[in-house]
Amino acid sequence: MSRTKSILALLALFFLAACSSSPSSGPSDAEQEDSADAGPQIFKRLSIEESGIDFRNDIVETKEYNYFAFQYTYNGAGVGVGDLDNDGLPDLYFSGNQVPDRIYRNEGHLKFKDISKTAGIDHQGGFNFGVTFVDINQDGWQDIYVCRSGHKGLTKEKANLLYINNHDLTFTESAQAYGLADQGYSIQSAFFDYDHDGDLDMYLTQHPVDYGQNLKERLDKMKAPEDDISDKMYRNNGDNTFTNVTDIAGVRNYGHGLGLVIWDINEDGWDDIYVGNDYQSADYVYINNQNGTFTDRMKEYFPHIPYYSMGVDVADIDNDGLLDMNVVEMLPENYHRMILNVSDLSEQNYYVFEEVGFHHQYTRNCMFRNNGGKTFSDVAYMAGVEATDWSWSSLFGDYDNDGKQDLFVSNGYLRDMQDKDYIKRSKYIRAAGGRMTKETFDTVTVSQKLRNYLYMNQGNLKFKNRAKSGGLEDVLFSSGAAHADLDNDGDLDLIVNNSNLQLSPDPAIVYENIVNSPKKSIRFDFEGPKGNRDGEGVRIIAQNGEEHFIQELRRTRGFISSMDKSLLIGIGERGRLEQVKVIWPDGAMQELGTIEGGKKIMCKYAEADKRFKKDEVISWAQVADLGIIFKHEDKVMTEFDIEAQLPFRMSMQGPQCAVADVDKNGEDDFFICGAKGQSDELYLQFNGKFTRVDGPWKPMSNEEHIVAEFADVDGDGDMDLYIGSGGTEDGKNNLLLLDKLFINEGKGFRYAENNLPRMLESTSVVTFGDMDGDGDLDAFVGSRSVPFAYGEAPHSFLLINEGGIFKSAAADLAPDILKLEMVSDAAWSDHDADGDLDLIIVGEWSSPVFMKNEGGKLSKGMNLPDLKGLWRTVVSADLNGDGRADFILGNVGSNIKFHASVKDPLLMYTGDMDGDKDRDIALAFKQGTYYHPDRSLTFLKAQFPSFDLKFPYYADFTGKSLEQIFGDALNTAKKHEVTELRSMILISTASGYDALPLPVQAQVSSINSILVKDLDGDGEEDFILAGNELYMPIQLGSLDAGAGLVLMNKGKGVLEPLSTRANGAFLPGWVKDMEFIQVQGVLYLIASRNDERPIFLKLNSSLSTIP
Amino acid sequence: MRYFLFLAPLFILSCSTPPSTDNVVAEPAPEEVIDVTQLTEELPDSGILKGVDPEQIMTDDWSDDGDIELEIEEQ
Repeated sequence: MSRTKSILALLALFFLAACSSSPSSGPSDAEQEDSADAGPQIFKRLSIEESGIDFRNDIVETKEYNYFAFQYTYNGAGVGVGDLDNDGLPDLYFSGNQVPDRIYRNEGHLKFKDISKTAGIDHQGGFNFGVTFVDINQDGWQDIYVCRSGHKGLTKEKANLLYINNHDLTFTESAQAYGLADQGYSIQSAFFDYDHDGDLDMYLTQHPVDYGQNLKERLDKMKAPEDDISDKMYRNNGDNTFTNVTDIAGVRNYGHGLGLVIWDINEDGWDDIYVGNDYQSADYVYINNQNGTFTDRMKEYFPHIPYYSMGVDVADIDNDGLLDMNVVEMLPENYHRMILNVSDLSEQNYYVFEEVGFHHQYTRNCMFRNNGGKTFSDVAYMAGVEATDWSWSSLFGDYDNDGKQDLFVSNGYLRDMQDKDYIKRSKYIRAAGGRMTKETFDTVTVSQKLRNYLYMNQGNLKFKNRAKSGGLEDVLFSSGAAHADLDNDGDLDLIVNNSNLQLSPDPAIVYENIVNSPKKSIRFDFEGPKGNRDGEGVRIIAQNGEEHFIQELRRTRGFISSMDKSLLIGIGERGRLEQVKVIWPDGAMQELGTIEGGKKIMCKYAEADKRFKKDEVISWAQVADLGIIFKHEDKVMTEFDIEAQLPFRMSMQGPQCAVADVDKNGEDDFFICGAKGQSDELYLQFNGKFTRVDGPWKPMSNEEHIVAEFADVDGDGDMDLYIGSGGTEDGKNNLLLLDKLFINEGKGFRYAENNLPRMLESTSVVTFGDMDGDGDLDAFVGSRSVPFAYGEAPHSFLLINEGGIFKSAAADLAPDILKLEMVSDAAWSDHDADGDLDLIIVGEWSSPVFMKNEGGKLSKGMNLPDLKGLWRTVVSADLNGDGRADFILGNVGSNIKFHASVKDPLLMYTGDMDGDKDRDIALAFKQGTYYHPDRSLTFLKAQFPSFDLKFPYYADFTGKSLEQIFGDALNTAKKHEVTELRSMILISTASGYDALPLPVQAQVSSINSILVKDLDGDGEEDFILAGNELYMPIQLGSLDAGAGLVLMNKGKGVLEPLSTRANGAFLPGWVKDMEFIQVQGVLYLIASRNDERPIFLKLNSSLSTIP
Repeated sequence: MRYFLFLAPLFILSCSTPPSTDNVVAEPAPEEVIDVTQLTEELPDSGILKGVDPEQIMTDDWSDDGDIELEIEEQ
């Protein structure tokens, strides 16, 4: 070829260029500039002249090394830090992809000298990536392991390198002799003692080189991964040789490994492995089975993970004494770049991938908070760290020595290969023969340097990017990075490797930390046991009051880089660390007591005279099932195909559960709703054991039962049962939506078909109360949505009890109920302490509605217009002891893609948004400076086909206002607003209510259910909260970070979250409802979950001792 | 045993039996009511993998770049 084809391709491109916008040069507005980025400078860039570092990872595109032939061409290179000559100053190693690696000796005062020529490290051939420092032969001198990959034509040339330190700043390459000259496509290695035999073994991440795979090809390849692409485990034989034990260890795999970090994920005292995998491969969570083998238990520990995982790091982000983890991905923060570059996985493909065994994967960063070693909750949205563009290194460090772990993220990709407009243009290249000249490639691709991120930890699970003011204002193509105290002044300096394609190349950069706070940190060095002299895996823990500190020595962190072998713990203004302990990987422990700031401590294994024992106080213990064998089984419908941009699934609303002594034998019984196609179940308790019994609800299994409530509606002294039908499965106005009342006849239940009005709505709540004071129970029945018409107002009902028969009475007694919008929950209580029952109603896209009871009539009372939420639940309790009802309201929380405030509410438009006569939903919220649609343009083009013509190129879309996008439809559609996403408490005051957000721990997910009880016997009502919202649209991502939370009431409205360690009320999954139940005098909690078995917890008697 | 009495429901109503309209107050007019046996089969269900050809699904949305070759004039 085809010169003709090349010319054709060029002609096609010129044609395209002539009739459409050209490749974007990136953001032209100021959205990327964070106006809040202000504060003291932390880092100062050192020039080449100042530091002596002139290494450049220059990339030259060749036939073998270009994006199409080798997709790792632009992935960048690594950094290693360690004292190579034992002079007390950390030296630097830079890997080069195509250029030779370089070593720089630290000569003090941040001056470095290139010693590469004499060091003996000039082994060319492969495409070098990861660098790991390790004293592999335990001679007290740092050795260096370098991972190499390369194009498919290479074999021995890409064998990994092991540079053994000759003690004179020269090295002897010895990988073959040690059995570590792996010839696969290697990325990075980590050394750790996985088998507790006292020496350091090695885990190696590798990557496949197959691109453009369809699902079948991928699944086939995964069945038998070949040696050169599978990760490896090498066991240290103890004699300076290693044996490949990949298959024995159970880590043969087919993952595009990039990030690698070793840590004790499940807190069992044995090191586990986390591998962040690029492309579609799910990350690996290899849990150490303590017998030389590992099992990938990703789905057990992580409800979701990033799609394209890159760098990984671990640190305690909230000082709770548990290690958390951050995994970076590729989602751009800048709206323009996001629209052009975000990956657009379709909803269908997502579920296909899940069905064939992959995990829930979202295209964004994930910051995982540790739920006590049981599960991890992604809090990236609420932390504000979800989008850092095409990211590589994820590196935690306390860069301002304030005692809180900050986060550095490097980013940049030499060409934006996911740019939608490039992809569109590249189709013409394919059509013209699939050959592209270098000139054309330069023309059709965007190559934009980016600013790295410096997230300073603000506390309360919040981070603030201060890259610009913090001294990292450069725009670069950065990749590997490391930090270390290069000048021994008590703070972490930063070293970043940068790549270059063509003009204005950047060298690797040393950023000097200038916080100048030597008394605000404590340095720990280690003298480990034989076999692990540097103390890899050693852990420092400390506790100042309620505040915990924990750090582990792990060399391999971030992205293809390794850190120094000391730890620096920032303490800020605290002055000292208290209760300091050194815990070695084998459990040996040394107590160091209190250490003053500014000290340098040498920790010696030989002085560890105690054994570490985990100090656990658990208030709730999980029990198997109490004999209740029910598993809710809901179906995932493709309802988003019918209602594009539907924010939450309306088809998966159940199940609620209910507890009462229905057979009056003195023991609590249990009822739970079944999904459509599944019968409800009643369990009777007898002598502490539960037995399932049938009832008249059994033939009604074709209905989706959502709501269950026991109440004595006929006043005969036993508990009758109300079941509410809902969901969307049966469409609108379907008789299957009729609620059901079952009268307890003493010997069983009777379906009372005539005792309810015909309510053809999708019921979300029923709550009973004697509203009219006539001695029987009346009811409010609410509905959340109209099936397949989300945003329309369904009917809710006030039912007045007349001798056990309910009459709809809203029109006469509570006309405001007829005006309600989307109702999710309601509660009766005496709001105004006037002796009668008032009603509070909450719902979606609306404020709480207070219905005041005056003489048996309800009318809308107080208005709280600033509290328009996506409310899920409400309970009343007297929090401040004033005798009046206060309220806790469950919302979706702040750990969500949306932003909402009174000033800039979340918006939803429902109506015909594109003139095609169909009803649409369009969500929008303020992103950066402007309001933008919530979804990607690819998604919007599928929803609104006219957008294809309106915005032929993605760059044509990004600067458009909502008015320009939707035109007059914005005026004709129904507009809905949300101003508050957080779960709140409403504290009664003389003039109304003060609205206060619940603690940050309660904002990590939606709260669907709240139980109220004085758990510690102090006379104050405490609260247990649970929720989540799963199977959400993939462009929003599920709210799955909730794992249950106990809020202890300290009086006067102060609610304190019980620590993760002491909590024990572990309630993961999609909790819809909770009930207390007494079994043989012991208090249990049952949580019903959608599409899962319920959870059963037993209250530990030690709860009253928890502070 | 006492609790087994609950095994025998005293009254079971077929789902398809039209309920009483004595105290109807809900707004939908009778003609709007949809027959129980309708719709459910036409509504979307799970069965995600039905009709899906794994060979037609690319694992990464831009991963078909592999069929482009970059023309490089080697130095």
